[in-house]
Amino acid sequence: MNPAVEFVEVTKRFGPVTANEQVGFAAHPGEIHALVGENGAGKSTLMGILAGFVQPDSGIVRIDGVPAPVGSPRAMLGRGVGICAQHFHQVPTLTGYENIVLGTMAVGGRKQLGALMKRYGLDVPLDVPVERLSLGEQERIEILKLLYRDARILILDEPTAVLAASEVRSLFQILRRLAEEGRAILFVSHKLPEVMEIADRITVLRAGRVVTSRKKTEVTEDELVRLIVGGAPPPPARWSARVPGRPVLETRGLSLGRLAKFDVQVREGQIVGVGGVEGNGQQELTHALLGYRTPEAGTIQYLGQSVRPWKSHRFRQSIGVIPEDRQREGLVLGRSLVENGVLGRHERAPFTQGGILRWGRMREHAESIVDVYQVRPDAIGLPAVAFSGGNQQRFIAGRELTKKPPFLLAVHPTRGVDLKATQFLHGRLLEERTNGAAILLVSADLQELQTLADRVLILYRGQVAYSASREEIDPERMQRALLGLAGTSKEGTAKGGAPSNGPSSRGGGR
Amino acid sequence: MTAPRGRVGGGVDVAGRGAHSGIAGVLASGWVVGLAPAVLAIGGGLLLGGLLVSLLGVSPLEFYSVLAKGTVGSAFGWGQVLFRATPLVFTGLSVAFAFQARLFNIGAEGQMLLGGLVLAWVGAWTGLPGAPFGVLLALLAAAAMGGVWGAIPGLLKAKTGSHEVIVTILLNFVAFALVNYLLTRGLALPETVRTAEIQEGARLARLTEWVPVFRGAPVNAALFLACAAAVLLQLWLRLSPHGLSLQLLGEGPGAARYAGLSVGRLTVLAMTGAGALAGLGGASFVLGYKYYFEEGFTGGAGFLGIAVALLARNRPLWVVPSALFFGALSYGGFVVNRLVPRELLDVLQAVILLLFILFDQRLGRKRT
Amino acid sequence: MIELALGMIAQVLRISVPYALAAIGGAFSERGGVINIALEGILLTGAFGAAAVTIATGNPWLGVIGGMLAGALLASIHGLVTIWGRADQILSGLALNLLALGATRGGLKILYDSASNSDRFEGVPALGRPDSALLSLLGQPLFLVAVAVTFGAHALLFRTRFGLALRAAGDGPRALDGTGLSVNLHRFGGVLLSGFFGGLAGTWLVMEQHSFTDGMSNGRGYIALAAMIVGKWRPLGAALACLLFGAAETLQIRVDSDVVPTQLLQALPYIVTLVVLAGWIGRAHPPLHLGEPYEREKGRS
Repeated sequence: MNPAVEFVEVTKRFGPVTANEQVGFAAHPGEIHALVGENGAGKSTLMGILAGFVQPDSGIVRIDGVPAPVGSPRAMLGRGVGICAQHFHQVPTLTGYENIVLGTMAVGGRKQLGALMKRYGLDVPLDVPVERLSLGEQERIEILKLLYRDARILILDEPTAVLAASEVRSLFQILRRLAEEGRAILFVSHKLPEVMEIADRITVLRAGRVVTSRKKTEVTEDELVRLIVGGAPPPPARWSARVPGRPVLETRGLSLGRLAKFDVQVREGQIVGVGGVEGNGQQELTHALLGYRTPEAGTIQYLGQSVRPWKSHRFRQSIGVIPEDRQREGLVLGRSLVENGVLGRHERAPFTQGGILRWGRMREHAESIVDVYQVRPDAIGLPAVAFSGGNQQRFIAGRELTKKPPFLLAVHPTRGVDLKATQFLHGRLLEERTNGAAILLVSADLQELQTLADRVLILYRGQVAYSASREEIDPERMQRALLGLAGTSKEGTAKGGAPSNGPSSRGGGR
Repeated sequence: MTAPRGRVGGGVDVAGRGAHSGIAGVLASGWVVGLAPAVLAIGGGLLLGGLLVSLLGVSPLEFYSVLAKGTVGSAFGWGQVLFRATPLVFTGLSVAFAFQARLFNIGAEGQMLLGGLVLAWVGAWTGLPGAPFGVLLALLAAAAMGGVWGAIPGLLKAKTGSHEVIVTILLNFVAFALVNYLLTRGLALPETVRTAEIQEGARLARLTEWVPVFRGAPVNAALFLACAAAVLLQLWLRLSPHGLSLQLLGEGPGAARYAGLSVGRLTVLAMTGAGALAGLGGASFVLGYKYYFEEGFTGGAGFLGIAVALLARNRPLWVVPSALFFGALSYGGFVVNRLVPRELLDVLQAVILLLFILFDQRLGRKRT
Repeated sequence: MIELALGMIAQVLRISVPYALAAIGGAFSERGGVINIALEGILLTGAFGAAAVTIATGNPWLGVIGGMLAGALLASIHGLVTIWGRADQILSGLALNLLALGATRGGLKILYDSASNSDRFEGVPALGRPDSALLSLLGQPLFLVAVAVTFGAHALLFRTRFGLALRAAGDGPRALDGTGLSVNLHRFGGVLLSGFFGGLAGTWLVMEQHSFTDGMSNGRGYIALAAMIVGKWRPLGAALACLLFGAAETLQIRVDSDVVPTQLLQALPYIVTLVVLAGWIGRAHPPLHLGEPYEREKGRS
């Protein structure tokens, strides 16, 4: 039998960056084929090629043994390929139903959809604009869309990132069933335990190349880690106890949109982590702190003084910020590192003196960031766009930390960054903590929070659903709080309560 | 316009430490890439223009030779072209200035019109004989007027988010009506649409006083003011922290905001500066040629400023040659009027503009 | 008194028609994701086309078709340049407006040997000759066409597969691409429709005036864009907003010019537009991908 999908020497470059290099492997009908690798290893690009969104520079993609025309979603759709991308391909303003039938003859669509929903247990509201649905619900819409088109090759890119543990279980049941029906499933993930649970075969990508492609039974989780990283993983950053100093930043009753009565205190030499599934008030918190939006209520105290960042930029300019989206919020991509290195500080001494820009000083500054934070290539004249994600993030961290800010706001600082850079950045954050910085760390990565934070707060629907100091963290309860299951400790409730309809309540039980 | 610019490192030390190629090489390729779309667009436009002309039954060869002779073929022609280029330098700089922050100033026409009225008004009652004081005062007042008119869309954008394109366009219409009104309310001489003449001391000298070959041509000292403005602006963008702020805001609005730059303040700055520059656009006509304000004196220079800035890729120094080119086309309309309707040259300008944005996009993409 | 009021209403409607048609056109273009500043030029070209064809053939209905085709011609240039050429949409629109202004002026000279206006001609004949202003408006075939177009446009955008796909092209082009439909073709369809509607708006103007005059669109295309924003990119909403601007212009014409100087009143429609726009903008949500050319291969995420 022909493989459902076969990649033959597929290569794709984006400018200076090689995303895929001579990639070759095959996935068979009835198989759940996991694709694993670090951030930036080329998984999503490869799946983009298979779905027709990305045109490879060279190579062949065979579907059922026949070379497929690449670079056309329409052609790939015709061959039975369907993708549930990491960022869903949805029209946010259209309803679930409209999104599903878009581009098809919608005759009898409702009935057919009803049947599909029943058959696979995919219950989801169809007549609400999808932008109002939770990410988990949006994903179900995406999967329904694939099934509605009867895709035989299903690509799921990081499908569990937005799901609760119970939802992951039911997704896996559905996937298993789909595979039994003879479909091929390409499952992209970086969560190795899940991969070991669901996959039949595993392909490892590293730096755009296939490292190995073998049956799950032929590999252990530890081996996988080594294959992914390319050797022994770098040691995690070391946290050590430290007595926090005086309070640096404090919010009281901060409310804005979803965020309700948020209290936090960050002291010198302390990292406070704010976790939660995205869209539970984290953005409102950062926007209020940065002064983008005026809070509806509450106060912000900084070094003992009341500040209103939405009125004045002084506070904003004295703190350090590692923003969420490094390409849009962290860097001016078309400009060199020289300009990016002083972004926001260029109007003041030492970079401006007597109303004149000091380009020499600006260059020296960029040089020093590049040196200390090991940004490669070390060419400060290159525009920021020419650097890889990890190096961009190093540079941003360097820029913000060399300010020696009393307070640092770090938002998803290691998202999409490879392991080496992640460990490096973690080390840097801890070093700043040792030096007395107060750090507010917003992250969706529970492991990151546990590695770095002195104290962890979990936001659910804008409220603190769980709060614990480092020593007291109960991972189980933290996970449950994340999904809105705090306050209930029985397993039975957990299964029934989808995050969208679970009542929000404060941590600590009722 | 969306692609990052070819220029890196603010123009110096392009290669940095890990030099890939010589500074000269990078600069040269930057220049070539920067000029290529303009050259292609002008070439394509002239070709299409020739086609149009021959459709109208006129030989393209004759058309272009008449055009060339009448404009750059004689000292008088040059004098006319330079005269027409002068306001275009100001409006081109105006558009280029706002565009540093990626704001479109479509309001240069109205800003120039109001500025021109103020020039005439102030020039008529100040003007100490023989002193540059009158000129200076009139220019300052005109810049202030244009600045205020430009600040309105800036403020509206900063406060309400209204798109500056629609606002500046609408404000042009309001400016036309306002000028009309002020003229009828005593600023115009009775039964005319022009104001009284300005005082001697507020006048700018004709170039014929120094260069006799320009005899008869209206080109005047405002040309030097325009060139000086271009040089100063180029320096300002390079050396002023606010100039850099505008550019950073323009190229990376999200990052600029995250870095704590005051977006609202910079938006107002960009539009006010743009308005002030356009406000000076009337200097050549009012202070150096007719010595009075006349309805319709702008001749579309405000709108043409967009084309001028575009071809100059919003670099102040490049605005000068770009303005010369469009000045030549504008005056060229009168030169060829006996062959074809002079509006053909307007069409030609629009075609060149369209071709330019097309080529700019195509070549710009290759650069990234 | 009632007659006066009815006359007033008829005048507001009459004045609003070109705004509404152009605004609806704008909605189709922008719903698909293409900013259409060229609307002003489309109006002008449409007006010229309608006048030229009517004068040449003596048949005003052929003139209507000519006007719409002329508008569509300019719109299709805008579409080609911005959708496939990926050029900046605002700049393309501005350039096309300059083109339309120059071309129609040149056309006047070539066809009618005049710098300001075309020959006079009879417009589309009215049905019957009622003496009430409102009834006579209702008897105008073009008015009925405009009303039908308004409701038809709404249905087209919100009740058909094309409308759904067009909205997807503006709000989620990647999703549309993923279904195998062409983002660019749908966008082009939206821009083309804006040309037909804008051309019809210009046709209305010349048919009312019985001749083409230089620059007769006089900013209506820009005001229509503002109305489209106020109407939240919906055909019916845009048409309603146009009634407001039509009322402002009616006021400008009707107010006794001894009280307020006419020159200041000329500015009224523009000032009303500015004020409404500034007050409204916070509540308006443009199509999510407005102004962005669609790139299938975007980034490396």
